[in-house]
Amino acid sequence: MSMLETAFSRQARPQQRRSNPMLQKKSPVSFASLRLCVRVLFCLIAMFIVVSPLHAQTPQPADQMYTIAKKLNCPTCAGRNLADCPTDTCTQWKNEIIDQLKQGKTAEEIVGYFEGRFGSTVLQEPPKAGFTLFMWLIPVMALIGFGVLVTLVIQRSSRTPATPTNTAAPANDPYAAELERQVKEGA
Amino acid sequence: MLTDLGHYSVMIALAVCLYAAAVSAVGAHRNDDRLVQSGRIAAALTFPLVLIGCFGLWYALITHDFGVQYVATVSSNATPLFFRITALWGSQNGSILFWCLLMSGFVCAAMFRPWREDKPLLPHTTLIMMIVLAFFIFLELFLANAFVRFDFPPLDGRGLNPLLRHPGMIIHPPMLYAGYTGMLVPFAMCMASLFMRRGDNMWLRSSRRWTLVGWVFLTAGLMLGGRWAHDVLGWGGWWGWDPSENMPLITWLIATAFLHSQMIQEKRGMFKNWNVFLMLISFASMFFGTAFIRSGLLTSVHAFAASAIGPYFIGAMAIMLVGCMGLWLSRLDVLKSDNQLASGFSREGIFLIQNVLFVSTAFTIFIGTVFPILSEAVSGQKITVGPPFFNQVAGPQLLILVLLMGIAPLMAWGKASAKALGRMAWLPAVLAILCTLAVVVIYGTRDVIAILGFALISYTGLQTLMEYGRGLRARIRGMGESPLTAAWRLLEKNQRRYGGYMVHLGVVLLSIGALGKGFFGNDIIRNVKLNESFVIGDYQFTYRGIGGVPCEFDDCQTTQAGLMVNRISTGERYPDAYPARDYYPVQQHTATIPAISGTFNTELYVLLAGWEEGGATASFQVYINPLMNWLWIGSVVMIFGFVLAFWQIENPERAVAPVRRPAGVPAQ
Repeated sequence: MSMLETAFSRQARPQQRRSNPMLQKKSPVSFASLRLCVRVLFCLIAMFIVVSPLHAQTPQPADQMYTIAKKLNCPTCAGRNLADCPTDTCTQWKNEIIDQLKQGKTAEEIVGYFEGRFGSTVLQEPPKAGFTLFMWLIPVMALIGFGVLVTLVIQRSSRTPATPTNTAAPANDPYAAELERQVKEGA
Repeated sequence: MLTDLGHYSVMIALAVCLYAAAVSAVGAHRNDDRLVQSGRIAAALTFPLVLIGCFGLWYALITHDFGVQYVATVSSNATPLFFRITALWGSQNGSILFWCLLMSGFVCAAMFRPWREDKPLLPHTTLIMMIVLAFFIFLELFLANAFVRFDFPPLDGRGLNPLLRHPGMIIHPPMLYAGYTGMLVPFAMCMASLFMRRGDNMWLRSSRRWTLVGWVFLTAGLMLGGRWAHDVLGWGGWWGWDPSENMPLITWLIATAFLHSQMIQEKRGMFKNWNVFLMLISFASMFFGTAFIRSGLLTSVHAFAASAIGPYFIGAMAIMLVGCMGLWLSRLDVLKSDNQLASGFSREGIFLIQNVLFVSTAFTIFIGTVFPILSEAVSGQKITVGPPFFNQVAGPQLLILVLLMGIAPLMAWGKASAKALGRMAWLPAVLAILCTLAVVVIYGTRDVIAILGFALISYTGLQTLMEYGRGLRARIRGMGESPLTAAWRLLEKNQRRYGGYMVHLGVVLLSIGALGKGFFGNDIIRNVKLNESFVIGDYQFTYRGIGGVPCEFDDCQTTQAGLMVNRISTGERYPDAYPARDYYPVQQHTATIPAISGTFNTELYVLLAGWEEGGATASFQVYINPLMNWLWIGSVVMIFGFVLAFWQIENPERAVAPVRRPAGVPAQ
């Protein structure tokens, strides 16, 4: 938001000074009132979120089992979690979860039990530790690295004097063409 | 007999392929048009030859010739005619033959296109397509032959995999194969352009419609796959981040990035290297994806066909990649940009960000898909990468892409102004917030990500609609046209642009469906006695009975349960739900057949999870899938958008006539 606002203020001033009549006419709402409007709406959203009723569900042992089963894989259903897998093996695993719940074990203990018995391959979400941590980090690092690279390229190209660009206005409708022209002149 | 004829025909196709490749290479070297034309005709001939091969296998399938091993694996005496025909791509060996058929079909169509000012690209395009096609025919003949016979034929076959007996599964593989193989044409043209040391946009202009065709087939294939998963796999969802879904999605993401970045090269002469790079990785992803699924490296929902052909794929891909990279690096000097990026805050800038995100999303999915192999190889730790990883890491990137879709059309080329952007964006932004409020009230969700996601998606949707509105208003005011004429002219003059926006609208609807299913939904499992009810959310289900019913196919037994469905708050009664289970004794396979009830906006998806004591008690799994139907509508809108965009490209010569370059003049 703040970045957008600085962008607005940086770009907006010179244009106001030039007082382009068409652009002025086309903007019925000033940015101050727009910002106010957005803030009011955000407050409204927050209010609705607090007030809106939750769908009440009575907790049942089957639900607890189901929540746990969703965190596990079943060996017989490739690519699906235990809760969604209908095979006999999976039914046995589900019954085992219910038994352990009856013994008073917590969800973490039960997941831990399965992981200890079958290894981390039973987990839907691989642990964010050890070698697997790389899997979580690599995409994020790649994105950041990529972004930095692109920014550097842009900065380098904008530092060198730009060759006269053949800015063919792509707009085929007169309104957009006019807008394009004024945007160019204003900037 | 006819089957053997088909076998020989495929062998001849391989020879013809190699001939076409050799003759094209020599023809290009000696600049001899007769040789090039001979190569062109030979390349086009591969299609009828492979088609005869397919007819041979079809003949064996239709006449129950169980002497052919493939026929015995995918069909039986009980298999209906329709599924005997589609069994051609029901398992690996046949599907590679079918793959060859589609690929040679694209080659044939490309050979018949009018090669006019882009004629210099023809010999190398033929050469590259022939090398790739020859590889696949080689695979079919020597490593995965569908024509091999038994010494002692069995009396009956095993029958088609029960999971494959669904219309979605019948159409989905051909679509995906067509999407994959369709990308061969633009790839070949790109490489041909590099061979010719051309730095101009000719290959982009010539290949644009082929890329679009490949793209639309991939889109349709992915969505039909989703529909199949939803209807057949019985887990309430449509997308499971399964390797065999991820691989085509990676290609789709890269192809989509390319469709956008090629506009920059056409309009501004920039991103030339980037476009070559995208073509290269999109083709590599096709090879790798096929190898990955086919080689059985990973178990997946439908790795029906694990075999030893993986290493050949990897080897071929490595050779191809090294060769293409070398070619590309040796041509870096001709791929200089005509223009420079004046500002990051411009349409080019946004396109660049968007392209980076597309590629990094594809990379994220790639990492998640291959990491189990890496992990086992490096640390010996076996892991499974389920949906949580993809949702957490790729999900936000996809969401930003949806947002960019709502911003990019507002940005000017060269340098954009924030004020103009704000002026055009405030109204949809405010409307989007109101829409989000409505959704929060209706579905009572409190998940911040869901709310934020919905706000961004609805903003983009409204903004895209505004784009149509703006264009219409300009025409009505500026040219004094009636609204209907204006709407028609707007499309007629800018089919590519407004077709693209239609695809954007489709993506918005699809995202709404995915978001609704992922965040606003709910699911439970319940064990109930006969005539007892259970409640999920606002819906009440009453178990009314269970029994055997005739199965759709001869080789299975069906048990079906009946439930009454009511909405509690309104007392409305919805259609009864009849979830079922099919048991296939021959394959020892149980299929869960879901029942769908509810309304258009809220789908109730009911599964029969099990029953005891002849049905005195039964377990049901129920998924509430709000907004899910918009997903299917969104896919149809995307394909409609493709039709709008493709139509204009009908006559590329006319569209680009003013900027035509004298043939054979390389751009520096």
